[in-house]
Amino acid sequence: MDPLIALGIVLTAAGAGLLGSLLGLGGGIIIVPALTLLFGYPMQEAIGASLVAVIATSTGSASYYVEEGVSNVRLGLILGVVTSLGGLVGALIAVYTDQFILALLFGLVLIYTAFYMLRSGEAGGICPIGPCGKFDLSCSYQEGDEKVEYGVRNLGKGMAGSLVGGVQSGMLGVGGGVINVPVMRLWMGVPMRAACATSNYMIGITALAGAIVYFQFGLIMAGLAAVVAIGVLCGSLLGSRLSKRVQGKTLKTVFSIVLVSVAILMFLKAVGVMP
Amino acid sequence: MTRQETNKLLLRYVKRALRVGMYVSFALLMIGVVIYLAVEGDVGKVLGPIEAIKSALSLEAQGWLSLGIISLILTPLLGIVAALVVFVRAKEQRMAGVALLVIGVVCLATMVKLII
Repeated sequence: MDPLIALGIVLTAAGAGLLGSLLGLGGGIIIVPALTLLFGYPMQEAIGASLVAVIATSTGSASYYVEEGVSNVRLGLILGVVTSLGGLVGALIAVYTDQFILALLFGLVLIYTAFYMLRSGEAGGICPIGPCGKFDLSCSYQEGDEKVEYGVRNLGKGMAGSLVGGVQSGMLGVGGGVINVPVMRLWMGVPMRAACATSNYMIGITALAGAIVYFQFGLIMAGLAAVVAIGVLCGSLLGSRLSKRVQGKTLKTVFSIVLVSVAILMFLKAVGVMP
Repeated sequence: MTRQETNKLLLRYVKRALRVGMYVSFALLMIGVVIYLAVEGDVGKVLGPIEAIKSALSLEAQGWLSLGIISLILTPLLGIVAALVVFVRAKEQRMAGVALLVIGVVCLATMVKLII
């Protein structure tokens, strides 16, 4: 790999890791289109590298969010059972799917993500503390001077939603945060910051099963995955430390516009207009 | 062990597991990248663990990069094992079962090519 191209990929991955960490998404939503459209990599290789990047984002940012007590580890593990299963199934589907179909599906996910970003400020109430079926998933964290305490509701519904997030992750190399965060926020009554932090923890578990499948099929290229992982690790560490200071609304609007633009390019690739 | 004590221990163990995995992977990847940039050509796909160790001992970039990527991929698993240890110590059988289920799915993923 040319050193200049490697540097370009590291910088792109650092930006993806930064945004992924801030928004609980994983960064794959940027990395896959960047690697295919900007750097010309085949879709499956880009997805393989992206799954490694998602794990890097999760590792870098979740270690910070767990230390802060914002990630709900119990909830992340329970949802992780279905997301990792979904990731495994999704990866198997992707291995046998034509790359143009994957590009088309990715474009659709980008459009959905942009729409979700613009609407994610609207949310229902936070679930009060109490048991959730046979589990006590109540959690608390410090938000400035205020202690935020919450419970979790609708575990079954949340697991069903997260399964879809897992399949999407394994199939397209994204974290699944665009589904996990609204599922936790709207269906399960988890506060937004805790939902993003828990998603950051979960996406690593989700991508793990998918990455192992890609590894077995020889679709993770060592050089590409390494430069992507290094960039993403640096970006996610920075992002998790900036999370308290960044104005979310402006960031989400700009990010949504970028996603729609990239989606159009992915559609053009899917129909063969772009190489 | 009270729930508060369990929670503190859980956060500490999981955080440490993720940090250790992150630093080890980063160090291995950086060594690999330095060798990779110093030599010409592409290094190919990620090697299996035993091949990767042999390749790394021969100071080949592919071996070091493969070891870095494998350790990074396995870092979330290390975090789950750390959580399992805490749940077993705190006698939280249901949560220990959940952690074991996730580990089970990961084991299934490692055998998927043999099954198909």
